[in-house]
Amino acid sequence: MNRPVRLPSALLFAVAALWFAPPHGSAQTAGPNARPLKYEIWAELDHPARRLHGRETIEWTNLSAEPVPDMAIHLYWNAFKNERSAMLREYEDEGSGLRPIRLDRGDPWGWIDIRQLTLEGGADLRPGMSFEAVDGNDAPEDQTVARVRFPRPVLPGETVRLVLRFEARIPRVMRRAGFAGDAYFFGQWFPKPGVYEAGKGWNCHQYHQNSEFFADFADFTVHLTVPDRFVVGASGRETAVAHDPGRGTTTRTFRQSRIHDFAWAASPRFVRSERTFDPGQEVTAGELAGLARTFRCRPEELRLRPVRMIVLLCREHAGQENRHFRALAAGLKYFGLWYGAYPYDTVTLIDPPYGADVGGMEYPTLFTAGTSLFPGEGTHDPETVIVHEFGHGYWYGMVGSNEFEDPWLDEGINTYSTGKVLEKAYGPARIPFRPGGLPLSRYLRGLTYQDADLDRLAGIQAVPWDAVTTWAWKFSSSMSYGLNVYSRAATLLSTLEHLLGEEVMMRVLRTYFQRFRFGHPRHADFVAVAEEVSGRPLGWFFRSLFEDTLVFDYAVTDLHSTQAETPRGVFERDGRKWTVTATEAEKRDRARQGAPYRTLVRVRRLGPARIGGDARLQIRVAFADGRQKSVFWDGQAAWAEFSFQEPSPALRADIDPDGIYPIDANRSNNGRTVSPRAAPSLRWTGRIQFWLQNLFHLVGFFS
Amino acid sequence: MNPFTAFHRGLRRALRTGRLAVYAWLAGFVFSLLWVIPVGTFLHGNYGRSPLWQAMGDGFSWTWLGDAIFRHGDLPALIAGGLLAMTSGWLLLSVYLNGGLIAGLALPRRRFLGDCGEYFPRLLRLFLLSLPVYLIAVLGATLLAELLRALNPDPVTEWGELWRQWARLGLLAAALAVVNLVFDLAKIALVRRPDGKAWRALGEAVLRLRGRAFGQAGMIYLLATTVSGVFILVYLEVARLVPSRLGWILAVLLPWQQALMIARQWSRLLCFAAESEWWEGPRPPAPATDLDLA
Repeated sequence: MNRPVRLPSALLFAVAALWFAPPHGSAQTAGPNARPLKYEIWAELDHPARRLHGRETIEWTNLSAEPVPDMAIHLYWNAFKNERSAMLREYEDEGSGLRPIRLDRGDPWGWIDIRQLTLEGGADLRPGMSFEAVDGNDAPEDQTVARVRFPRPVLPGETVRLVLRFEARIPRVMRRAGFAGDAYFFGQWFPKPGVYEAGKGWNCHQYHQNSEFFADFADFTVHLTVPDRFVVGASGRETAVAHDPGRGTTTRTFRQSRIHDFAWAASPRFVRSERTFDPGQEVTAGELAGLARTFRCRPEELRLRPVRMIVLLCREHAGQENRHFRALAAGLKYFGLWYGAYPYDTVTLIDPPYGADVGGMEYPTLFTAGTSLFPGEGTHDPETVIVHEFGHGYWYGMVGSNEFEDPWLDEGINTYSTGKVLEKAYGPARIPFRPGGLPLSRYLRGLTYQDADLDRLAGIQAVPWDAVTTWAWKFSSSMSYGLNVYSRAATLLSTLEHLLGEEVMMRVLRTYFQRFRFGHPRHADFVAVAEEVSGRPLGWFFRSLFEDTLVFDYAVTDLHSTQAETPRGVFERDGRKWTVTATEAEKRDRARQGAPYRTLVRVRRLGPARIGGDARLQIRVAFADGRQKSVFWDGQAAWAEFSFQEPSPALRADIDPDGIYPIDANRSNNGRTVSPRAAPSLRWTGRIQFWLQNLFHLVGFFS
Repeated sequence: MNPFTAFHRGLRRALRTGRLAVYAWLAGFVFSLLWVIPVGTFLHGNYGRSPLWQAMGDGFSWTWLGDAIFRHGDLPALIAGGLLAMTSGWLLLSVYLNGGLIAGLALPRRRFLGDCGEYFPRLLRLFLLSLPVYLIAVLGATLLAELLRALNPDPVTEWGELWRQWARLGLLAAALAVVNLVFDLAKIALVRRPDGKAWRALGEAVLRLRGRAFGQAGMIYLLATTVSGVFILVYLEVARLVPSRLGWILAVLLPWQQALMIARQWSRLLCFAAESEWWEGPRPPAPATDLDLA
């Protein structure tokens, strides 16, 4: 978001503007839709040498209200240069023994060098260029961030044009960039400025083990030259193709506005297919009308646009074309209807070859997915990764949150959204069970899941490790980063959905998307939108569950139901004393048919996290005559006790019976029955015994 | 002896002595029960009053699993230790039971428990002898698999990796099967040997497998293994038709599971029976040696 310019600052800058003449070109006025960046890149793949030769012009406009003396530039591929880079040091420090590189196959290293860096028609900036370990870690030799100083500060509204020549050595695929056989993946491959934040300077972090990316929205024109036989997939629309028969190369030009990164892939073994997403076929009038009611708008406002879907599959996966297009169409439909229509003309899905270790990765208007030879019917594999990576086109691609500093804003929201789309489009999934690559999921009887189930399972384990809002590379481990940012954040959003209601949650996310589309929101912006749209105070929710490591666990710890008995002992009335003996009391109780039952429920807060604001925990008691009674608790004290006088005994009591808080770390103690049931224990004991017998039989082979 | 004839005779013998498989199953059932009773008590004590656990009677709850991992995250070491103790105990028990099974098949009018006790010491010696041989077989198969891997270090399609996996699995299975076959025959020889010498029984089995005999014995082993595989497939196909409701599971699935276990024990008995038939059958003439020629 642009900050409003205050009067003294404006005067100061006006004086400064008169003092300094613009270096080149004329100063521009930044309008509300102004984008600070424009790229034009020429890149040529040297396949035999595994090199990339590039030329680039960067046109940057200072949209802030302050003069900017320098520019910080990402050179991400230098993370693959040697083991002194921050990324590889962090892998080493984690001590897991895992490396993103394979040192056993020749020379895997990659790097990027800036060979020329000038202001257009002017000063050579390269002599003053230096590398900076801006994140203060113990990798001072890291070269993933370079800083260049301008001959004089760039004034507010002023535009500078940088001209670069760069050369990159393509690494064996590391962190989704590089080559695998004759397939190439180019992500984060060109010199790219950070994001200038008024008052703070350049937001340009090093490339870390646990982090993704952050950049400004820009207009891209990219010319890619590759050998003729290579099939290319790239961000944006292909606008020109030129063959050079003499050199045996083809140059393809791609253009796209309002994206903050440009990625491409090339291989002679890709099989390319295209289809058009036709909203007329995919979306019914009933769906539009229903959602229009939810969003309180006219159905016309929800209409989607046709989109060209481009799929590049490996040859052995060509038979899965329909499955890929269907998943992609599901993403276009539901993300479009729920959050806002996909605004670009194309979306490109790349299926990386086996062993490339690329997996699913998002880039604007292009993503990589991945499948297997026998995915198996009923599994959500590859659908999950397709919908997820497509979804990043919204949460990261268009809502350009900072993946270094607020990683949950894209991964968490997108994991939550992915689960919702898969649930809507496909229903429950079978567990992908493929021993030896063979699809045997059908033998895992009854083992189906929704994404939210697995997110919750994983997410609650990570609560004590780190806060969800931790900066990406500051998590205590990769495991903590993954579970907190994806699974726990998604579970917290499910919790928020239950707390606010599904329709309100949809409005929260739609408002957040619409408001911050092509912007850079922060955690606080999401909290503000959630509070604004729901009209409820939610600070407690985000403080204790997102910004802390507090375990949330409420439980029913006691449940007793006893028939009210005639009290025994010595009693006084009108100055007279009399004694009720046990025999007399029993006699009276027998005579008194239908005496009420006293039910006592004790609930406890077992974890340090507590609900707040206007939230209350429901405690529901079910009685033998079929009636139910509920009370509500503010959940602040360590425990509370509730009693009921009813004509029949209680059967069970539940705290949070509607499952509003999936983040509760132990839902098994959220309910309690008066009598235990042996049958489930019997069933599982029998099942475990069967597994043991089979294990014994297997081991008996060696006897 | 023709392997199919041996298998057919073994089948008849295994059917006649089917009670031995029931004894072995019963031993396994009771042994496993001893281990799962504490597990069942733990589950019932911790979750018996939990409605979420009660829902697990009719299906599976990921929520419950997540809770269990969160609550009992420190248990895996205990579980692993328990499994190690259980499997070690079962191996010894299994060696003990082999005496009853093999003697019951090979020798007339035997008493199962008496045979188990009588042959346990000599079978235990053979079992201890087999452990390093199995280890060498696994290492050898792994080494061969690694050599195959070196032929195609970076497969560019999943097919390359699958073939590699299948080759590795096949090599491992073949190596283990050969060793298992040799020691099966050694057990049969050992039970029949009056001197009870494990080394000599093993030598006798190895010598017996020279030449064409190896193919015959291998075919018998393969046929018995196929029967076991068919039992498992039939079990799986029927089991997935059983509705996952508690009543059906208790009344149908649990008995069906135990039926599979009896069938698997019986297929083991069948393997021993067919191998015994082959062992007892007419032997092919021994290949000529220099000594014979002299």
